[in-house]
Amino acid sequence: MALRTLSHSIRQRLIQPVLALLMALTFAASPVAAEDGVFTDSITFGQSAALTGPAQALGLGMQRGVKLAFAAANANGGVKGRKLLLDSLDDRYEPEQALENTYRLIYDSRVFALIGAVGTPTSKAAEPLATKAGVPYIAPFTGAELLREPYRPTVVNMRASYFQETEALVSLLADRMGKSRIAVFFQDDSFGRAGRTGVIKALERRASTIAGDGRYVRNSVAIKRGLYDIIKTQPDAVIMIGAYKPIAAFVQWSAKLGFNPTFATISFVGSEALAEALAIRPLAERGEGVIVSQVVPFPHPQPGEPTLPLVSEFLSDNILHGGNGPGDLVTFEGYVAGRLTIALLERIEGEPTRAAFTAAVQAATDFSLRGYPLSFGDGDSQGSDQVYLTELDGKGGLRPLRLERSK
Amino acid sequence: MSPVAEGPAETSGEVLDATPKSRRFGLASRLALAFAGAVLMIALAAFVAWRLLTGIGEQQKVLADHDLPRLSKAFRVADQSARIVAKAPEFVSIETEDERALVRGELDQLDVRLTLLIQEMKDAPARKNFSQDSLIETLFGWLGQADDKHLSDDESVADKNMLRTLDDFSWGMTATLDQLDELASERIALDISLRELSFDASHESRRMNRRLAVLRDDLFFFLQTGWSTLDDAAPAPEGERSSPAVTTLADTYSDIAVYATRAASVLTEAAGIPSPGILAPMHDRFDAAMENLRRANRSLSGTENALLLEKPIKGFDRLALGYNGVFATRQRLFAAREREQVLLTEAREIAISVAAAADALVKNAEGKAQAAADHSEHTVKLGVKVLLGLIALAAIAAFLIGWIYIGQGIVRRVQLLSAAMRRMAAGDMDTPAPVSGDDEITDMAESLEVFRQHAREVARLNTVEQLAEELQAQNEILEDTLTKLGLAEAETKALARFPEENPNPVLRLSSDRTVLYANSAARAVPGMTRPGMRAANEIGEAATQAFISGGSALITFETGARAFMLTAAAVPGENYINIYGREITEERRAQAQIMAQEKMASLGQLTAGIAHEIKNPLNFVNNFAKLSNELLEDLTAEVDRVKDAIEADAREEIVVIVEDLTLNLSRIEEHGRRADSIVRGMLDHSRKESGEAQEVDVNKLVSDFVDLAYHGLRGQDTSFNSAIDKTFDPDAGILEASAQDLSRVILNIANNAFQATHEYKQKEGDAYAPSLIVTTKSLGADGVEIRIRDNGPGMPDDVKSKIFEPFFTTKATGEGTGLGLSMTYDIVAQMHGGSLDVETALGEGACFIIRLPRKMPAQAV
Repeated sequence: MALRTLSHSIRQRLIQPVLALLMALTFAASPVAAEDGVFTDSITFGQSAALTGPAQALGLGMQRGVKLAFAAANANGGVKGRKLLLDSLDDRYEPEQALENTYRLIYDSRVFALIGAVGTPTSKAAEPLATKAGVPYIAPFTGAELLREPYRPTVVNMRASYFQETEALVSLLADRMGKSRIAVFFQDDSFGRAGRTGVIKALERRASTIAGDGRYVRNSVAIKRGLYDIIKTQPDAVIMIGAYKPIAAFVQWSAKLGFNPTFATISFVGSEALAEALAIRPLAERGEGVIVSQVVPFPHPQPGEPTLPLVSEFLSDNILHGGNGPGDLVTFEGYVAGRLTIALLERIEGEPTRAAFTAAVQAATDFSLRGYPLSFGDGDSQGSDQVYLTELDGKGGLRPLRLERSK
Repeated sequence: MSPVAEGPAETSGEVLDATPKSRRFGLASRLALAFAGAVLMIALAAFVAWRLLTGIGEQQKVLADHDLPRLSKAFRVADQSARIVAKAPEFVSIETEDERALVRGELDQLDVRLTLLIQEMKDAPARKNFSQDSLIETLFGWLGQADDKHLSDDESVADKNMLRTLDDFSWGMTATLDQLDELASERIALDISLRELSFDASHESRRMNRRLAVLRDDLFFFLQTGWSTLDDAAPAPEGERSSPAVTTLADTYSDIAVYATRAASVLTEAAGIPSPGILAPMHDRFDAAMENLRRANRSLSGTENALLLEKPIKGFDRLALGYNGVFATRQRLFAAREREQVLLTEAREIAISVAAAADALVKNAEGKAQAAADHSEHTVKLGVKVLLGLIALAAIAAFLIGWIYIGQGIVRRVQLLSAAMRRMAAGDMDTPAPVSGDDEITDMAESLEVFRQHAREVARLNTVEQLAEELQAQNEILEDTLTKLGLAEAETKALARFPEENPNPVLRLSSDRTVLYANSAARAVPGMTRPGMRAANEIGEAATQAFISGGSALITFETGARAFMLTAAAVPGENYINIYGREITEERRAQAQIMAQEKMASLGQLTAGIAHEIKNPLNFVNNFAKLSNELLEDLTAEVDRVKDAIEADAREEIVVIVEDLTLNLSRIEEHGRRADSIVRGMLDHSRKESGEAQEVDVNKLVSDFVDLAYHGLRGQDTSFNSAIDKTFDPDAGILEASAQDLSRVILNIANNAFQATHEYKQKEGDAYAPSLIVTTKSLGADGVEIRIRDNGPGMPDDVKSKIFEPFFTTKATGEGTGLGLSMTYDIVAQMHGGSLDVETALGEGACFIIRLPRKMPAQAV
């Protein structure tokens, strides 16, 4: 009897250290960190965006803007002694690639948060993965409703929604310019359809509806069928929801065929890229007066108006840390996204964790980023509701819209 | 009793005392005898205990050194073998390279451990048999508990054989597992490449469809309109558009789309099929799709479109065929799976043998440990009985010795002696010590008596010595006092010079205002007064006033550019008045400056206050304007609905009114928004949050932002132009300042200057050439001076005095908020602790002078 108990206890005592050793070996490889992406001297962020292909101007602009904000903060010693780093991967504006990139960023690179994704279909694929893993999804370059409703605390939208942009355009075209027949040209995917829905809803509020529509396939310039469909409906204004290359082709072909309604498009187009794409054509096809709605203020000082502190900081940071590169609207949006992230990180007391970051977003209820109001809250994942209107100047640039001039 | 006992008593008597007390039976001898008896009893018990414990210890040592470790090792061998065996199925279910590395690592660990354990067991020394102790044997004999369980050595030979068998099996197992591991690695690589191939196939299909979409779009448009490219001068004629070639082209495009999709889906499917049987039919379907695809594309041959579509077609071929294609890879994966199954069966057979060998080993070790434990238990029981008897004997003997010798002969007498000592210690030196008997205690009592008599003598001598020490201390105090008296005289003389050396004026006036004394500082102030004079001025009056009131009077005395604060103080019981002065010229100047700054600061606060107050009513205006707009829409709809019931004239009137109202409301909204932006500007202005201090290269910052202002205006209005002359001091160097806020300062001032010259040019015409001169100058450690000078119209004095006030603007209503320069002033003066000045006169241009310290002051939170 006594021996049986003895041998049992020996077995116990033998097996336990072996198990402990095996477990120690299994976990020895993973670093002991408080939170993914947070190190003693740095915090890493991930970005999946179009860095090549027809939408590359957007991805590169967002990347440059975020890096500009990070570089300026890092030159001042970073956030509480931690430098901010950005790891960007190219998804060519394809949802499959965006999903794979996001997976790699979360589980291989183990970044703290994702920032500056570009596009609706890509975000639609990537965001659920990030949300499931509890990874903050900061300032995607899209105004789609699907990132706003239902409310998810880890999704941090900086900009106004597409519905707010289309409402502003419809209000301008229908109420102030008196256009009665408004058609929609859109990219045939979740992004384009959301824009089209926005226009239809805005017109319904005015007891009206769209005069007609036309569509094109994402990542192509096959716009002619859509153009043909729209011309047939004889509109006096066309709201275009798409990328800058097909929209430039659309505007050029319209001019070629003598079809001259008022053109308007939303911020996603990449305003400067559109202006440049059009500027190389003959004068008639340059798209002067194409109206572009924006979700960030015009990032150049305007005479007679006090310059927003955020704008002058962007300009000075661009000179001091960005080699005076292009100060376009997309870069500015990336910069605002970066500055917002920095401001939120600075509001965290103690060690930065994803939960603390989300709490900081929810606490930022009456928040202003150097004069630019951005307010969040528990249930409000969108910072800004502002929409600004600009127009192409026909010389490869943009100017704030002045109605007297466009009339 | 014996010579040994008497020896030490004799010796100690000689050393301690000269008095001969030889040949007595002393304390030492008696105690030694008592202890010797007790020690003898204890030694006997200890010897028996030692022999018993040594015997038990040896038996336990055999058990602990040999049997138990062997048992535990046998368990570990069995355990490790089982673990290694369990690894085999794990290899088959491995999915990723990470998992493989993990399993491989575990296996290697287990393998090394098992080999080491087996080697240790092999190398263990042969088991010793129990030593046959004669005493224990005898004891066992007395107590009738003979132990006949002797263990033989035959079993350790069997043990060695079992180990060898186990070792052989484990080698075979490890070899099989290595093969399984290699196979798993191959399988994982194949799995990954299949997944990639599948992903690439759908990517290739999308590429094909995207290219086709453009071609089909172009074709459709050409059919409808005749236009083909943007550079076409005119559309193609109707006949050319609807030719049969064009319509066949449409068919070909849709064929290509169908077959490309089919080829891609076959590839994706083939990459994931579960059984090898359907691989061949899949291959056939893929070949058929590709053949159709190629045929369709051949009909486009010669056009650039055919070349465009050639690439995705070749892509499909590359993905499907060859050693690394989908089909071959899938085939290799099936083969790898089959081999894995064969190896798994092998591993299972070896596993059964290993388990049997390990079990036998454990059983053997368990038997040995059981026998050893039984033997050890017997010995322990016997030892306990013997020891208990011996300890009882020793205890009785020790008690008897203590009672007779020590208690009766020694302790009582020592108690008497101790009472005498305590009395002496309490100060009673008069009672003699008790002396009795003839041994060491008698000696102690006699000595105590001698000590008592000595102590009485010593007490008398101590009193005399204490009196002598007190006298010495009094002497030292007397000497010290004499030295201090000499030093005090020098100090009094130095104090007398004190008022004369005061840098502030000090005066003493008699009650009739005659100056009794004026120090050098007072004499140096012209018009103050001089000794011997009568002070007829306000100083004299203050003196009289103080004298009458018996208190003090405070006056300010001004002469030329200098000012003094004078306090006249009467001294109670004296016929004179002391006057103490302090120069306040600098303080006055600083005060004037502070008042100017305070004015600016309170204006800023006022601004914030106004903004805050206006914000809410303004929100009402804006929100209700918006709401009214919506109500107007409702009204329009309502009017529209009942339009038949309204007369045509009235209807027209309503429409016109509603349109006017809409226009008015849109104006209210527009200007409300503008007011909102102004209010927001005002709030920004008052917020005064500041950028962090960083190192700023002044010359670069000034240069960059003057350029930015220039290009900004050029971008707005191409007719604008201005010469810019930059003269920078290379020593201006680095400032610690907020780059962002400084950049706003430069941008603001440069913007204003450019705009002023631009407007001036429009008035003056071509003869006038706008120019801006920008200079920097190092002020050494004090900071940097930046000058921005324009040759514009300049400003009259009334404008100049107000330009830094909030809301002051010279621009037309609606063009400027009047906050720019005020904000600029705040940034320079408040945030950076610098100064901002302007030099200007009407018609002479304006020059803004910014002076900044090297280091930004720490911000008050």
